[in-house]
Amino acid sequence: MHARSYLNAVCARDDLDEILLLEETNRDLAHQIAAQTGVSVASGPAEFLERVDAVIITSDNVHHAPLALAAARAGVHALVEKPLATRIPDAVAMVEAYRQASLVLAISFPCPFSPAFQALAARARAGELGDVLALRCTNRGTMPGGFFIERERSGGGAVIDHAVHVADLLRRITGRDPQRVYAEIGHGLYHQDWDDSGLLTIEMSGGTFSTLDCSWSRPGSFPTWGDVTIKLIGSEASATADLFGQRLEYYPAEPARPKWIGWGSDLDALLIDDFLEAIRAGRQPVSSGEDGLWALRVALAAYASAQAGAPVDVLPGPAVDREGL
Amino acid sequence: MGDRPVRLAIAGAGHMGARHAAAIRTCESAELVAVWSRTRAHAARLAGEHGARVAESLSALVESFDIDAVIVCTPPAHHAEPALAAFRAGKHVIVEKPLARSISHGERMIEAADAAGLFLMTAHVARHLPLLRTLHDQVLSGAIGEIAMIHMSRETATALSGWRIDPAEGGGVVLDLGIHEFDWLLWTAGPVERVYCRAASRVRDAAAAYALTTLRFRSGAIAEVESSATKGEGFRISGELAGDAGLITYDSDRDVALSTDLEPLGRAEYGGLPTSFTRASPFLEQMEHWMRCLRGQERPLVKPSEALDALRVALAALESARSGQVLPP
Repeated sequence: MHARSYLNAVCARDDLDEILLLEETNRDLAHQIAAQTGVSVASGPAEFLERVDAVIITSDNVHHAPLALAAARAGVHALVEKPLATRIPDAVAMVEAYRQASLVLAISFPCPFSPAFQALAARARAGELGDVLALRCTNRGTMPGGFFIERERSGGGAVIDHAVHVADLLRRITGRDPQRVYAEIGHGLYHQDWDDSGLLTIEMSGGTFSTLDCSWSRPGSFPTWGDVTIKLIGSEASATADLFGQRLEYYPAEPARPKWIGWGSDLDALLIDDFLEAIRAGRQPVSSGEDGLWALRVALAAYASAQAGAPVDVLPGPAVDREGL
Repeated sequence: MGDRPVRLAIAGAGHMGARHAAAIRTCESAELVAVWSRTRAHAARLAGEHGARVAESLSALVESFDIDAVIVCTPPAHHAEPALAAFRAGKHVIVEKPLARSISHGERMIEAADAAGLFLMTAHVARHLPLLRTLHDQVLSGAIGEIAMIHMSRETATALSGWRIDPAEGGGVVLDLGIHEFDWLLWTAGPVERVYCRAASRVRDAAAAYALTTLRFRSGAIAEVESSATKGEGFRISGELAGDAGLITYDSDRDVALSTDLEPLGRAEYGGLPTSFTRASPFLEQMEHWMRCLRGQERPLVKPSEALDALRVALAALESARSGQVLPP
């Protein structure tokens, strides 16, 4: 789904020698895209990994780990779509493999590049709002279909799809790690075996708590794909960031439907910029593999909490406060 | 009560007592006869404004005046005493929300009403707000199908004070603001299975000024309720209900029918609702409804058991916020 956006972003750059596409299950589609965009198509994984310096992995979720580990073995930097993996041991292995190989492992969390988010986080960290008491967040969307609703390919439904972005943003705003999660997870929108609704309460070390609605609750008729909103309640003042609300509201003639046309900054392009810069400069990317690992822990803790009917700890041991990002 | 106005007394001459007195003034079928407050000066002021008399004691209020019903507007921990006194004197009771501060008080009030064959009506005024009544009707008519995920938010700029922030008496935003949403949700989405709440105070040791409550309904629906006294300015209710057949959103900030540069958007007194610019204010609609009930023309919108159920949810939320547990109401 996101692959197109990344493809457009890389095609628009003038600092890349070659763009190579690897698509193993739908080779017709790969050739179509190549014809449209001028990118090349790899004959297989081996040729692919030999030719490239960096890879953007947009496969279904369960394949993130094997593809990324293969890339690391081949000395290739990777930007991996979220979630980093579908199981903690896989995610840990990925982070470790890239660390050991001194390669860049980035996760596709574009939200930290949002100017509105950065302004909110800066104000919070500067103490302008006082102590951060609580947050109320949403990352709602439309039901995406495809592999996202095939649990053996996705690792879950709405919760694993959407809880990760805000879980990551909470770490950046508070400078803390998540400690406990309580989740109510439901199937009431589509009545399938995959979760379509989730309401998490995440408690960070230090006591700040946040709710997070990560549901696929936007109907097909909704004028946009969804939202990411963060409301922060400080001891002195409150603030709200709406990361994807900058839009025109477009009402075409029937039978077409109303839709929002976003004019905000292109966060995917900024994400890829940073990934490539991190490779060139030999530094960590803004959205790193470890960030992806923490976010995955929150999503999986949510599933565990819903099963247990109680709040669960994100880590077995106490969370460690980080100095800053 | 036939054709004559229903004769009313008010116990408790604070903010809500004044609100109901104002509603009585514009309600043709109601008349304010007497006012009592534990602070006599407050009773005297309110009575004076409305041409009513001052009762020197609670028992005088319910026994010495020719009244049909008492509207109890004292703090929740002090609802039971005036209510029980009124029932003993053969008077109907209307009580401000929440019904009481404890389940045992609430149950005693309900038992006394039943035994005396008298009305016990609770002022869950949010059911009379045109926006929320329309929302309720839309949902019950099937507009969104089976409900799956709900958000409801109630935010005010007015900091809680006095008894409202005394944890024993008040219960902070969960009891004072959240109770509106809990009642509306029980009315609209059915029984609640479990409650989880996290809350924060801005002032040390005071009851919470901000709370986020998660409810799981027997139907499987999930709700998140924001109750806030930390808004910078004004008052706002907002939210959405998503179901398997659609999504409805609401936002009082979006619905301002008249705005001027002369005053801040959405300004309202504490505990009040923003001006709806509709035919009657929700407080007047509520008063007119009560009067029709007392005259036998209509059945009460809010049953005593429903008011008790809303209180159960609120008390579970308070306890959950304290203990960190998930609790049944």
